[in-house]
Amino acid sequence: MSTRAKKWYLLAAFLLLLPSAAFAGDIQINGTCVLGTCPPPSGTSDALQLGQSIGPASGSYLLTFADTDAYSITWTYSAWYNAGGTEIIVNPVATYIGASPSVGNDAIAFNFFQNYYDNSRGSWDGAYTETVPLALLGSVGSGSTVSAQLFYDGQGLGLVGPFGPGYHFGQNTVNLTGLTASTLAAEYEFTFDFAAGTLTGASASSGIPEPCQALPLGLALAGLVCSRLGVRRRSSYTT
Amino acid sequence: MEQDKNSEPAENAKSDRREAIQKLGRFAAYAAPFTVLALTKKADAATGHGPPKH
Repeated sequence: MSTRAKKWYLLAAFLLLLPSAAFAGDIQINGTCVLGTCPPPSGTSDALQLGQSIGPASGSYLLTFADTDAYSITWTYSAWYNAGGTEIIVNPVATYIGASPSVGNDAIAFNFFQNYYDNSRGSWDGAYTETVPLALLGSVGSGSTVSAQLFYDGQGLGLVGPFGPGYHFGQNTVNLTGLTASTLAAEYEFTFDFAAGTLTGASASSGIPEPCQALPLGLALAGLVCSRLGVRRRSSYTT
Repeated sequence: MEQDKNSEPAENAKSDRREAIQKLGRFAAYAAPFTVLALTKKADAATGHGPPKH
């Protein structure tokens, strides 16, 4: 391999690994830290500083309970800190993958940690907003619920849920005070409770899952096909 | 005859322009679904927003 090609490969590898290099984005599932350090330490080592961002990044984890009920957990997240403020976007999805109905009541706690660091004077005080879409879909056992809440330095913005099956949405804005440290610790907590009797493919998430995401895509594709047909028809008229 | 010679480059330029516009249109048509999907995905997740340090 030429030296020039090697340099390009190294640069590409560096750029690909950059999102996972630091800046937090740490994940804990039922007490097990599956990504990074949970919770991340104060200071610069695991935090976003002004002008920095992380993601979009994704990952997965297989969670098996003692009673053999098994769930596939996937997630995507991104976060940034700029002159406009701090922002977090996270979407965990838990899907029951057992072949037979679940045996026990399975509570899944998904915690996403993101630290921000700014040692300039002043405080992080102000209006904080959580926007939470939640979905509990498929054949879930009776009594299954989903809920979520965002915390900054331990101060909650309000619990959204718990909700039963279907699509749900909640939004809260709270004025937080006392955030005077250099590090601001954000923690997004999701709780997915699957009751016994849940069937394969049932899922809990903080987003609109595949069929709804596919809808605009399908519409756009239909538009594309129509426009192509229109072009063909026009050209057949002109020839 | 001379007029034909002059109009040929103009015709070529016109057809090049038409081709470029068609290519752009095709690209836009193919890119549209992915753009829509990307924008949709962004809106379909839990978000949190706060002020900068001040």
